[in-house]
Amino acid sequence: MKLTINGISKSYGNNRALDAFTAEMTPGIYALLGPNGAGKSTLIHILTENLRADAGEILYTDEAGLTRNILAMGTAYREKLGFMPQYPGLYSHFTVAQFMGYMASLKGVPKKHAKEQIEGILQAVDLYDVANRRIGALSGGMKQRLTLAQAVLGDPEILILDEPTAGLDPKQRISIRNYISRIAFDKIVLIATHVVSDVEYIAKDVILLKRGVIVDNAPPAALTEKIREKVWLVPARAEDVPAMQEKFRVIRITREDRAVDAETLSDTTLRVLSEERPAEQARPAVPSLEDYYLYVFGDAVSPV
Amino acid sequence: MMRAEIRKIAGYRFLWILMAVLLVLNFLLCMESASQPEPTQPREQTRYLAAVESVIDGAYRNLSEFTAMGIGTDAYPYAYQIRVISLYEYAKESVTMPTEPITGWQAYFEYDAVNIFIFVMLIAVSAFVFTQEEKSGFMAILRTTHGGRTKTAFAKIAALLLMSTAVVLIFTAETWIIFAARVGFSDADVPLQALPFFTRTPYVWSVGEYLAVTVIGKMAAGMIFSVAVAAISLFVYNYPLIYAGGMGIFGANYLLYALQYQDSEHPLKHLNLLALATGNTLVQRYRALNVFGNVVGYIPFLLSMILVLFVILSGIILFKFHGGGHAVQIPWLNRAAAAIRRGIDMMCQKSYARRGIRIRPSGFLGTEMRKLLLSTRMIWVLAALLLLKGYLSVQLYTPPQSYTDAVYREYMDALAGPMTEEKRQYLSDERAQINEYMDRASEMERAYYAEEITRREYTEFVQEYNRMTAREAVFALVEDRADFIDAMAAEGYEAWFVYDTGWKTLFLTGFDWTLYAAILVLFSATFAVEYTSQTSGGGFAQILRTTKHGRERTSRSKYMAAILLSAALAAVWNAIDAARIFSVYHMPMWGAPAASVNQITGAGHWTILHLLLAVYGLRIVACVLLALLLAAFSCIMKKSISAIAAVAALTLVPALLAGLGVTAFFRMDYISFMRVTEMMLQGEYGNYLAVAGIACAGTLACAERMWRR
Repeated sequence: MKLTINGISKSYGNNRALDAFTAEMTPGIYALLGPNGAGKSTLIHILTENLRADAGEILYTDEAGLTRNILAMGTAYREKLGFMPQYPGLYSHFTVAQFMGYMASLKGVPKKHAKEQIEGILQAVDLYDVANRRIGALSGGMKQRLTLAQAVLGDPEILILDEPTAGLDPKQRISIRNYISRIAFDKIVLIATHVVSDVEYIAKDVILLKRGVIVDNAPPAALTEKIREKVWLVPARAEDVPAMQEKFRVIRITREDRAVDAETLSDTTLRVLSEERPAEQARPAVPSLEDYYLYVFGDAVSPV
Repeated sequence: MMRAEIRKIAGYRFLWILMAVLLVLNFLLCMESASQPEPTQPREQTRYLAAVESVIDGAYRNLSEFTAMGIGTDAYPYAYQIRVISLYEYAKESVTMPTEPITGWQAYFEYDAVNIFIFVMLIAVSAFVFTQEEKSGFMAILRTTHGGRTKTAFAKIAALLLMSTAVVLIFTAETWIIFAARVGFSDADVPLQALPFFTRTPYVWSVGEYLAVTVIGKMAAGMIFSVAVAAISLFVYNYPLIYAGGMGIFGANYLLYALQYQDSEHPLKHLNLLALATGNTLVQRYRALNVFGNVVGYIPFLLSMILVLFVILSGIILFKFHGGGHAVQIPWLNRAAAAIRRGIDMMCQKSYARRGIRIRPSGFLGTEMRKLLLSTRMIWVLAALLLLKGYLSVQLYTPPQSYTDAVYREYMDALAGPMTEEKRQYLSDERAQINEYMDRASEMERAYYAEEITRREYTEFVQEYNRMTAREAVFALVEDRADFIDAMAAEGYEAWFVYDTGWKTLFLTGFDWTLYAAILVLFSATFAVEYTSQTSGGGFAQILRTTKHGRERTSRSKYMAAILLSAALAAVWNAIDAARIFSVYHMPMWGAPAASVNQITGAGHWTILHLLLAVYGLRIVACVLLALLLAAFSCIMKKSISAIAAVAALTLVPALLAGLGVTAFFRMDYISFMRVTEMMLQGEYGNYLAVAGIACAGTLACAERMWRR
């Protein structure tokens, strides 16, 4: 199974949202990262057939090696699709169970399997106990998990998730992340997110998108490798922090209760992105995907 | 800040939808009310002066009586009569009656239903002003800011006043434009006294000036009403309670206003918001109150009270908004609500425990119907419209209690059935008897004056003669029917004698605007409900369209739901009319030829039952087509309000133009299409059905393409 995206472009008036986007996806998790306006939502809506591209094509290759355009496939493509949008409008008067039942009908899940599947998914996303509650009475986090639940219903081959962990508490976030990781074994999962840590350890490939163009597309480890020896931990005194921020790209500031360096009386540790060692006492740090994200999109990050 | 407050309220789509619906309803009612041109010839100057002088003479007579009774000149009754004399003397000198007939104005000023729509709209607007921020949680932020309390409260009151003024002006302008287009207005620069209703008004205003006065009255009533509803909202922060409070104020004022049918002189009949908004009864003649011995006219008194109330209510709003944003707690109400909630929870828990969690795939059609009725909460609007429909049906369909109808029924019952020789003989004998009485009139008169008959004999004759005159008028109609039956027979068709008062009422019912409104609000949400979202991210459509059955099958189910629900609505609505008419009218001879019913021609060999089934069937078809058109526009435009506007324009504008005599639109008049009978009997129904069908099919195809793409 393979999804091939060939030169997809889309413009809104004079604004080019996607410019010849090309990628190839096989089973596994793909992270789509980029700042607001990068074109993530446009790509997702084209992949889910909610929007037509101005140019390019998306091809689906099945297990038997037969390749077809998703537009020509129509319903056959949508049968394989699960989609979790960022801000869905759910029917507030439906109960959770009724809503999932309706989604089962929409997705053509056979009746004999629907109940079992729905129960399993609701338990996995921790919504089973509120199955009879009206959607309008659910909390924001519960609605978010319900939106994920409907996406995975029907065991779709292609799962497209837009900000799946937004609005969840840390425990729920980890739980959902693990759940996605578990079910993604034989699926193509595309996750668009701003929470880089959510995908760092589960993504097979990370696609970085900027103003509609792919900036990078590689496994997380390969990306972080690119900034090895460029991330530093720098001890500093609190009064020196503004000067450091002026001079370097500071990506984290940690205040300590006591001096971290007896000699310099530093009480603060700065995580700094720099091509060269920013200070004599600076130590190299293990780079993370978030560091790389800021390395690429850092021009959009201003000191606060 | 005021602009921001206006922007906040104007951003609520619900208000625009409600406004659109109310404007459409007002449009339809205006069309009905303004259907008859009524040029009125003003009174002659001498007759007007005589009427005014009789008022002045009456006042002078009262003064003489007061003097005789020893009532002092500074007492209120005396001062009142003096004021009456001075006002009417001035009117007598100032008013000059026109000689040209007056058109439109009387009907326009009598049309007071617009006030209902204005007040309903104002309840909705006022409910939002303070409650929206409490509900969204922004109140907590707002109240911590520098200008978030007093300044914001002032800005909200100012915005409310501006918006209530805008609402009044929009509805008034719509009404004025429809009356101008349908009836037309004559010169407004004539005295108000030229209109029959205002002959005894003491105010020396032209009709145009009175028009301005009524607009100002509506604005004042609207403003104080809005502020009152907003003040309620600050104490409850709960939409249903605010709406109930607003309806309570409106209902109380309406009841006072309706006192005119019970006691036309009761002061409260004139001193209420509805009377102020309408204006007519306030200026019809001079009325005043005794305020500490002073004569204070109703108009200045009412305006003073409005001002005082406005200050008090604004003060309450400022105080409450500044002091605390929480709703007033009513312990017993809270306890009752908690008990109900507990009860429901226990019932649900027992039910769930019994049957566990019920998870099963749901049917598409049932789900789409649920969405239409429940997701949009339109079931409540439908319930309200259904109640209104029942009320209107009872009001509209009351059998005539006249002597004429009783005689007509007597003749038709005697003749009931096809024409026979015996019936011809009966008609001939009856005619002879009537003519004999008529011819004897001059002879009896002569005999009475010649004292050949007694006064009693002559009185009895006159009574019988009068009865015969009335019967003769009805009998002439029966003879016309007999001629019509013969003419039909000559053409090879059959018609019988049937008492048809009830049948005529049934077949010729007016345009059902409550049904039209119900279809408009319900089916405009067919697809729009999928695009409704609290954020800019889009609604459920984005998920729905990515599922296996989310496009073709879902859209088929949506259209099927529209067809079934609209057919059910049309059936229920028509059944209400039919049930009412069948219960209060005598409806004989279902099997008679349809042509037996007066004004029903062109029905061929159909019986009344056939015609009834055809009319009701076509009315259902008309409603189904309207619902499908709305569903399609709802898909294309993705917003209920846009769909309503588009379909209302497509259906009502041609009706308006047809009403104004533009012949090109006679075959595109949806109002006649929905009423069915006339259009069908004129043989135009097929044409319109074809036009409507093609328009509907084209729109559906376009919508389908968009939804599936």
